Amino acid sequence: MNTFFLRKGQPHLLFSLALFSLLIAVSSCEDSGIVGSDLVDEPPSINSDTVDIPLTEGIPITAFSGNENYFSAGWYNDNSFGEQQITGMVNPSLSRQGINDIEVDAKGYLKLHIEEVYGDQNATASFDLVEIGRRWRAPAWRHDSIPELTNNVVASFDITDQDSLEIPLSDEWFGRYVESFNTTAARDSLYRQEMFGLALVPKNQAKIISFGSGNTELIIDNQETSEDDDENGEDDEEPGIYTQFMRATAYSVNREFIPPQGQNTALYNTFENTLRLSFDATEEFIGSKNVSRAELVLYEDTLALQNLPAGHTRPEAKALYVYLLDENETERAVLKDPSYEMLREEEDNSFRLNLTSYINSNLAGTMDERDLYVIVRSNDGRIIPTFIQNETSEDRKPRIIITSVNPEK
Amino acid sequence: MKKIALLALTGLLISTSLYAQQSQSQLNNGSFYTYFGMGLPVDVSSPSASSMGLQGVAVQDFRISNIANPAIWSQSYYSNVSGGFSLRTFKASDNFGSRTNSILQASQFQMVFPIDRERIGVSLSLSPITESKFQIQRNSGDLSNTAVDLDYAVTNTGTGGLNRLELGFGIELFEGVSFGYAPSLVFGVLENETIYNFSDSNYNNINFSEINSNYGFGNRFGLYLTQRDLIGSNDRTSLGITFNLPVNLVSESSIETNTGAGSMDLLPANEFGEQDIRMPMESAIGITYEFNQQWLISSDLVYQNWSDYQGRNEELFTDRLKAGFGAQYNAARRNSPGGFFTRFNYRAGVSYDTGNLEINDTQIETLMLSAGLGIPSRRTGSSIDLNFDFGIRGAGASELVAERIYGLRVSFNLSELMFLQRRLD
Repeated sequence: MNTFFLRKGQPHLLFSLALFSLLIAVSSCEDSGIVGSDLVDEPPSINSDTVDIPLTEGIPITAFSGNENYFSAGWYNDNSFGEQQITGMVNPSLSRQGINDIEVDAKGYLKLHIEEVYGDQNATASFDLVEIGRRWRAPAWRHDSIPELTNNVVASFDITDQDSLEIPLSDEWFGRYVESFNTTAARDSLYRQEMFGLALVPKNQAKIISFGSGNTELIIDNQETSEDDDENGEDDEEPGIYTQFMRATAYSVNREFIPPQGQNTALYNTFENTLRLSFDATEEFIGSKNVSRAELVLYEDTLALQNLPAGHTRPEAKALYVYLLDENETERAVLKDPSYEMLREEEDNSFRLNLTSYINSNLAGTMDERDLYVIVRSNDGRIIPTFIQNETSEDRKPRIIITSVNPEK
Repeated sequence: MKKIALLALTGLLISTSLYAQQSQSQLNNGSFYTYFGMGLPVDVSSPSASSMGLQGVAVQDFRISNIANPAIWSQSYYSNVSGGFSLRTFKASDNFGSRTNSILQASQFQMVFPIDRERIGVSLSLSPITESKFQIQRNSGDLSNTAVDLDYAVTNTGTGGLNRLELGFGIELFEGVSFGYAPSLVFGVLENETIYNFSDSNYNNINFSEINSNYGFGNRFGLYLTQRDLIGSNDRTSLGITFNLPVNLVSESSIETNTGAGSMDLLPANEFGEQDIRMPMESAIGITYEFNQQWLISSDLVYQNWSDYQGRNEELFTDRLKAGFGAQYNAARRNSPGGFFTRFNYRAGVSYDTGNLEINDTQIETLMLSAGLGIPSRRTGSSIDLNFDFGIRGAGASELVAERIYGLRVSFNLSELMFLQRRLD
């Protein structure tokens, strides 16, 4: 048996390995520098090309307006976007937190907080608060659904420039609310079956107002009366002011569909007219398979937006949302989160998006076939329209700026 | 016997995996000049020859297998398995900067078996032919045709090379006259990866790799003439000649990229097209004079007609000539007992290589000083050999890259009498 490498007294192997290990340790520190670069072939140059998106389409998709951060109401005739009539809807909750019973002669108020105004800021917008006559579900309330209203006008109010307001509600409507509230058995079922909330119906063309959903309140002024005393002559209810938040908010919009007007397409923060960008992200279209950056650029048509009279305002689209949807997903409401967000570049009023991962996934064939659908950020209950230049624009077409390298043989 | 077989198998697996590996590591970059063509040629020689600056076409040692000359396999006495690892450091500099690369890799692996002891022997080996192990960084560029100020740097990293899987034999035709022949499969993959690194994190780094796969068949012939007592008593004079036919490679290239979303063919092989690559003919001649059992001197001359090479960067290639001279003192064969230093073999040599590249009208020459220490077993024919190299390459013109090369190779040579039944344990 060969015992050369194991024999005691001749540690040749150990000596060799130790020496070798020492040299590895000494040599393992590489010093990176630029050497010889002028002697080797030049690397392929980096290209920056722009490809125009050949087709954009306005595609309507079902969208819901209920239980968002805001709800809107108002009537405004925008020179660019036409007449828009918005009916707001609220349904107060029936919570006994902090209060067990409401006095029969208590007073009710609807408190609204104005968050955003679209239209003539100085005009007075008049509204009727009308009782809704049919049950509705906020999560499934489409923005183009028409609420069924009764003839019962619970209140009327005006909004000019205040930040918030409290609207006194009719004793008749509030009395029925109190009756439902004070009912001991099946009170919630009774309330759902008999009271369906209130609609904010605009009465004149002035402006569209977005209210905060979270801070809209039904204020209950629970006045003390002698009838509150029980058998022992003690009062078991605490007089004072109580609030009920809304269990549901929504709005319905009635406005004309704005077809593409020459070089721009109207876009909203609802899905009622999404902008579908149609292109095949193939090597032929992109011009390369080796993409470092693909930047989608959409331009706002600022000229078309600059025709508001003095004193009128329109909410600005600060960003766009981009959804990746297949054809099946466009046939029903879009409930998922957006895939991308395009932020506004103030310098050139463009919206830009790093689309590299989408392009590379398409080029690699690892992405299902899905198109890009664009809306204004975000479908949150406000009304934010804008115009995006489409493929008929002369110099501001929707485009993708491709930075790539094309190695050659 | 079992141990040799086990070590042979292990060594073969390690060598194969190291040849095949393409991964990046800190110890994975070699000479700058491996960028060109199919990489720099690798002179495959036995540990004893390389530490004398030789290829070793006329160096025969019964303890150490010779891979340079197939004819010498006829003289095999022991069954021998050899292999090892090398570590080389390249300190490169030019007018713009300096850089240090180091590379750790397996050297050749060889098994030699005597069929008819000292008359017929066969060899099976796996050895590198060319080596492409480089990393070249370039000055940052800027993308002027975009609105943004975009800086980037480009790094080229090469890995791979050509290898030779060879099975051959050597036969002593007449006393002192041996002939050898070794057909081989030549194969290898070379990958040249280009990476663009952008300073702006909004831009993804771009990479693409040109992958070049090759195979072909090679043929080597060898002649070994040896004569004892030619000049003096107990001396031996040997002459070795080898001839390596050109190798026509079937070469297929493609360009791939990995974007993070997946790998893609940028230029698949069917579009990039097949290439015909012709590796050059090589011939070598060497002479060795052994004064006695302790002392020998040897010299050899290797010629490769790289001007006949066809392939990438072929316009840069020119004929290569390498001459080496070295000597060995085998203290372990002294008849009289000695101290610690009499247990080893001492070798030293020098070689001059014109190189196969001509860049800017200047050949990339290499001058290499070598020294070695052989640690033989006193009971068996096995040994461990340490080789040290120091060389200078490409110092002929200021615009070229000058390299100082530091090398260390540790080789094992396991030799044992096989197929011989022992009478006594």
